[in-house]
Amino acid sequence: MTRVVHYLNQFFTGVGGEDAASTSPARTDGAVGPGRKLQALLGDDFEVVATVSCGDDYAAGEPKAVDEILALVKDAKPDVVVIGPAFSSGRYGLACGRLAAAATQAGLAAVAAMHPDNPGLDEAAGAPVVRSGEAAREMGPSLETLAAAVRKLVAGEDLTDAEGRLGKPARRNRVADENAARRAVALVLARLGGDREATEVPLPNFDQVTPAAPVEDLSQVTVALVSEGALVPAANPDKLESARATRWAHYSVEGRDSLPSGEFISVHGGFSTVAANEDPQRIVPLDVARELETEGAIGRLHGEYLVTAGNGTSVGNAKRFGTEWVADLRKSGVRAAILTAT
Amino acid sequence: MLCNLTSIAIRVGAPRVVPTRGIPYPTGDPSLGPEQERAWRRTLVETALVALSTAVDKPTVFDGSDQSDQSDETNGA
Repeated sequence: MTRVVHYLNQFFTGVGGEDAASTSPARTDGAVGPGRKLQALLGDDFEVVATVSCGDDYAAGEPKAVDEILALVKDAKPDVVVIGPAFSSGRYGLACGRLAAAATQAGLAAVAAMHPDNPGLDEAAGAPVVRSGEAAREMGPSLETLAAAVRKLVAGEDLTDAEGRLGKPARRNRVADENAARRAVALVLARLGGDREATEVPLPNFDQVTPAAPVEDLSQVTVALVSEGALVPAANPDKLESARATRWAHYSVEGRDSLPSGEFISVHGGFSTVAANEDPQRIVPLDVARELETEGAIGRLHGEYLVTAGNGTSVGNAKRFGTEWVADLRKSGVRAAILTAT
Repeated sequence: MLCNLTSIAIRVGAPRVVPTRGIPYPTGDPSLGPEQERAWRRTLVETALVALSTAVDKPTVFDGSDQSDQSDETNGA
């Protein structure tokens, strides 16, 4: 019997939603929530002996969280640690990636599942991660991929593209069928034939951002406030999405010294908005920015703030928002922007 | 960029990053009283202004917070 310990966030273990996102790590016996489906897929040779759970804010924001989670996992004496799937959820993905790395480092067999765009993938630092769908509606097929990967891992086999392996796999020496010269020529011929992907050494795809030059004298320029915290007028007139945003909006702050509670709310679906709604300045710091404008520390505060919801946003849309924001701000003569991010 | 998860901001290449105290409230800290919180917010935005006036050639963290502040214990809560 192979002992499985399953890691899930507070949502999937039924502890609660964003109101419970600061919950510290806890362990329960047996399979919980999606773990039951995982158990069914793994069959009688495996037993999900325990489920470890942690709130997303705690898991992603608390430095000691991964050690605490790993300690709970180890106490249940796993043969294999199964983590997620985290889909495209950023905080959950970070926790899953970190746990996969820490468990692997500690000598445990471990595999996590998340969407390829999840920022948690980098946190896994080479530990096994397989592909999941983008959102929980793809739980079924994602668990099937994960269960198949668990079986391979327990059998001592390497996970490959065929099992949905993401990220850079560990390098292992093996004897190639042909010598390096023949393989190199074959790759050149493939490229000349139009294949741009074939390679023996996949390179990481880093997006290069050239930092803008500093502003010499802020007291002479216009500064804008921008945010992905989904702060909008209470009626949400532009119907900004709470997740997977496809658009952004802009709202006037002309003549305002602050954004009053009740008049502005956050419609972000990725964290508890209680604190933001109590004081919208916690997302868009208009009060102190206006103060700094009045005192002359900045020349002028831009007449509106730009906003979207950064929650499972596709990389493509996020890039487009960035490009459109820069064009919009440039057109208005803005020289610098302060971006608040949740 | 003002955010709590600075490791991600650095990894995606945000050139100027100012660390904040909680994911759901980048420019606030609900554990403080109203006046203290506003002062903390002002410190954050002032640090952002320092960042905007400073030349950087790679992702750089600007931390202007007072490390002795007791509310540091509430990080991530």
